[in-house]
Amino acid sequence: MAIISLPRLLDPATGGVHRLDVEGNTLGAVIDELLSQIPGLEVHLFDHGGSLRPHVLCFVDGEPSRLEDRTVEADPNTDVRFLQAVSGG
Amino acid sequence: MRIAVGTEKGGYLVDVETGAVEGPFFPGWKVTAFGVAPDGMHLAGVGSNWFGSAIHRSADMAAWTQVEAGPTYGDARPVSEIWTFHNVGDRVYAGVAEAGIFASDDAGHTWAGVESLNEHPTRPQWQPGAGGLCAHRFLSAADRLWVAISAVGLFRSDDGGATWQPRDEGVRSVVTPEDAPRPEVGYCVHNVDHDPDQPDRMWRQDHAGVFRSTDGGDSWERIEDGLPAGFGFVMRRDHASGRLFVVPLQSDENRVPVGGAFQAYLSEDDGDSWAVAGRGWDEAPSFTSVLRGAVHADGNGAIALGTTGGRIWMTRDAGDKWECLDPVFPRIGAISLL
Repeated sequence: MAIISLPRLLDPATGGVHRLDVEGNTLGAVIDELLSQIPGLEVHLFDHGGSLRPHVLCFVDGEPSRLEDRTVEADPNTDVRFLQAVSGG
Repeated sequence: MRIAVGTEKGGYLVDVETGAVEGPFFPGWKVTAFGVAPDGMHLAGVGSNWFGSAIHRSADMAAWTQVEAGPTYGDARPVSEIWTFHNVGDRVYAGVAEAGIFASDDAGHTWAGVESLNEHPTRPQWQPGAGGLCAHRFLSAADRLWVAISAVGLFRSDDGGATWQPRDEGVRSVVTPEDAPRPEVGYCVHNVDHDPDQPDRMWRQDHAGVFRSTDGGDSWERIEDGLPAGFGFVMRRDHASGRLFVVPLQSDENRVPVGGAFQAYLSEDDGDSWAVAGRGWDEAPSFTSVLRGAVHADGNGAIALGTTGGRIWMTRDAGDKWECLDPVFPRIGAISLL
């Protein structure tokens, strides 16, 4: 389980959902479940190679993450926040 | 009459009679293309510098839903922007960047790449220009299809999309010196249109000038008599009158109207000669321009031009009289008469 936060700019893909609880014992399972619940998010968060888009920021429990280690354990208090980078000034 | 306006910051609807504006829809997103699916639903291509691109459907252009399986090359290359939609029967095509086309047979819910073009043998030679590497214009007549790709050239299929051939003979390459051997690709088509009744009669605004073909693109001849410059991004034919329209810009290096005189030019003789289109243009200098997706003709005398300065110029009488609508938008990249 984790608490996911999504930026407002993604409203066209999320239908206006900015915060949701997602099941999963690892970060990878949480992300998979998030994309299962909101399939349209995948193309906006991840690039064609499967990496987090370069101008998308992710913080896991306050620490910056590129979501490369998906085996990190998740618990009901795990906080995963996606933000748009301040790119271009 | 309403006009859908796609800008760098959202999409808008303008009522031409009242000037009333609805929107933005997709606030903060680039709205890059409009279309209508075979089931009557509106289509929009949207993009974000942060979050990539997507296609959405809507019944009313107010409530939009992202499609289930939009265009993707998998891990081969990104789909960074949706540039155009084009319907052929019950199939709708999308032209995208990085350059390629995708087809949907279910009114835009799911999309599949047209591998015959997307993996064309010349693809390793495709290189982006200033506008990126995009498939931005699609024309069709029965089994004959044309796709314009910036900095690459015009491709034609005579078998419904099974095979494609470059069709740029007579147009100067933008990737080699003039006296060098002609490359197979590397021709920067900016826009193209044709006569639906005689579809092999075609007109082309290219990086290298304005051209005409009478053989479906097999060969092209330069037609710039009366134009102040050959550069630009617009080429449209009003079907009812047969008039052609371009919006000339100074040059590749200086993409503004010559002398600040922002005006469309028209030809009434299939491109043999050109003159300023009608009346109504600003007397004050205007250094704005019109991008390749920001022109739409309804075929019956109405033409809308969206400018990089966020204004809409339109004619409803095939170019005799032009008016600038009151609203001012962000930079306009796509426009559609509804």
